[in-house]
Amino acid sequence: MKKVTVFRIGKVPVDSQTVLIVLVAIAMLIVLDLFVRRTRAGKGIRAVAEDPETASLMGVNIDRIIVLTFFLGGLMAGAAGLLYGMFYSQALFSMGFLPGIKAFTAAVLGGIGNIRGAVLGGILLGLVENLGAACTGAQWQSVIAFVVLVGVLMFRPTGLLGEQVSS
Amino acid sequence: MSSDAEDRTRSQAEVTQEATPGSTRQEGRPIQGSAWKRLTWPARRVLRTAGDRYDRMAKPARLGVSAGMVVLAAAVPVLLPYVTADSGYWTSVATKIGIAALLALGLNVVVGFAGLLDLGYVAFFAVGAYTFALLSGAGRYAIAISRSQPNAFKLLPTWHMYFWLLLFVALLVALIAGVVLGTPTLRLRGDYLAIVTLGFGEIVRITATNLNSLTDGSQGVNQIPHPAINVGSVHYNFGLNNEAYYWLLLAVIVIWIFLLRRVNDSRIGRAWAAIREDELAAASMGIPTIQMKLLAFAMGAAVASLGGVIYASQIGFISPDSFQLFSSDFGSVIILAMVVLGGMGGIAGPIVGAALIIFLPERFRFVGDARFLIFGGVLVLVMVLRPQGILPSRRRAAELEGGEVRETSVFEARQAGS
Repeated sequence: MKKVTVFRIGKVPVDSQTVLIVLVAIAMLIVLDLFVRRTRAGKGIRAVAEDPETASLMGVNIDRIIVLTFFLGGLMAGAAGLLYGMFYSQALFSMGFLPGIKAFTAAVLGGIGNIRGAVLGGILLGLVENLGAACTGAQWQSVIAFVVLVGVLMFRPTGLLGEQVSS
Repeated sequence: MSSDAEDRTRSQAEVTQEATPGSTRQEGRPIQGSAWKRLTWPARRVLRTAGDRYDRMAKPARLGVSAGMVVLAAAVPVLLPYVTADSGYWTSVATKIGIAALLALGLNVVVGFAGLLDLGYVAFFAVGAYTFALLSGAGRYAIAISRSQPNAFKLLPTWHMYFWLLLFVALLVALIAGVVLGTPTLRLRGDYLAIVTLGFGEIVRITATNLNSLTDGSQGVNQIPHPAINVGSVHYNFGLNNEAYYWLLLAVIVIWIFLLRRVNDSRIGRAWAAIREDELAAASMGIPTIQMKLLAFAMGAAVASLGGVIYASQIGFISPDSFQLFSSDFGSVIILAMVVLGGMGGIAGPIVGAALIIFLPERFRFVGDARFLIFGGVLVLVMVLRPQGILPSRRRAAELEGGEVRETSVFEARQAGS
């Protein structure tokens, strides 16, 4: 049995799990942001995203950078999966499908290639989805996410904070 | 034409050879790269020749082969009892292959001809199936109407008579759905297009689940009527005769292949090839890219809906579960696997892919659930050995060949894909 402590901020009840999830998300955001902005490997990632050919001429090992990004992506997804499974107290082989698409939606919403934008997009998408579901019924929740995705791609394909990678 | 392509490949091979000393040459093809590639070279050669030999045939010979194949395909239900004791079961598998082949040929227009990655293709299959199911008087909605207003359906006293009419209605509905879903999405490219089409596929499925009053939600629509022929003195109900559905599917597929060949050899087909290879260049040459892409999308949608109508009338029951993305029957991903495995951009390829992907798991049913594991392994193996698919079109193969002979680096491959 897991232990969840519920406490109140003002009048709003908050449980310790939610706080943990938010804290981990913030920590991951900061670490990833610093890694991509400040380290040599992060510079390599940005260079490959911008122009792989030129990056390889400048001595960036493209294959290694790609392996590194897959590693980082897997790391983040793994941490998210841990929290997700903990929050819903279950694990299923197929439970990553919808969150995966919604993650893509959030990334597009914030601007692809923009880490801070992705977080903003995630928060916004979650709000829109749940407020929308409150109006239309919970069974339409995923539809709202897809409609947001299509809408963003149609009307503001660079996302809210703008793409940092030239297409 | 074909010798031109071969010469080009050879000269490229020679260029590559100069660049990488130490590689040996055999029968005009370079053997280079990893030990894995050297080891699997004979197998790849065998797979390659089957498709290439057909491609190099003269036109009359090719027509003869095609006609022979149609006759052979039509004879399958007749021949099955001589081959297997369980011919009834295998006939039902054959109709399943027929539906799969129709869907694969439809998706091939979108993915193979126009080069648009559509992961929501099953949505149009669902549109066709639901259009037919609801208009044919099955389902809660129609039953409620017929109870409250008994005269409402007097216009259509025997539903099965209207199968052929509803076939065209479903086709039109899917055409419209294709244009409606295509208009906002087809301006996108590559990964974005794939994700958005996937989203639309899910929207259609969730809508079918949630519109309880119309579609009976997740319970699905049952008692969908079977098609029948009532012309003059001929009265024939398809009922549960799998052979009848098989021949119906075969007829639809043959008509579709004929149309497809005509379209693909026309201006439209060349426009699709141009868009697939370089959209920007195509647009600057004056090709109306959006219209051409929409046309491919709508044509694919129409064919999928035909498949949906026949599927719904054969099974007699549909539910949103039949149209899941990863459904092992006709999910978008499985249909895409058929097209990619068989070889994109051709006609024989998707059919072969559909036949293999439906047949293999059925044939190896005796090994239990492990068959999906083996099946997945076989898929990976074929794609590693022959990335262009089993029977690709010559043009598609040449597009990929350039990459294979020259050993494309990662970023080149990515640029080619985007």
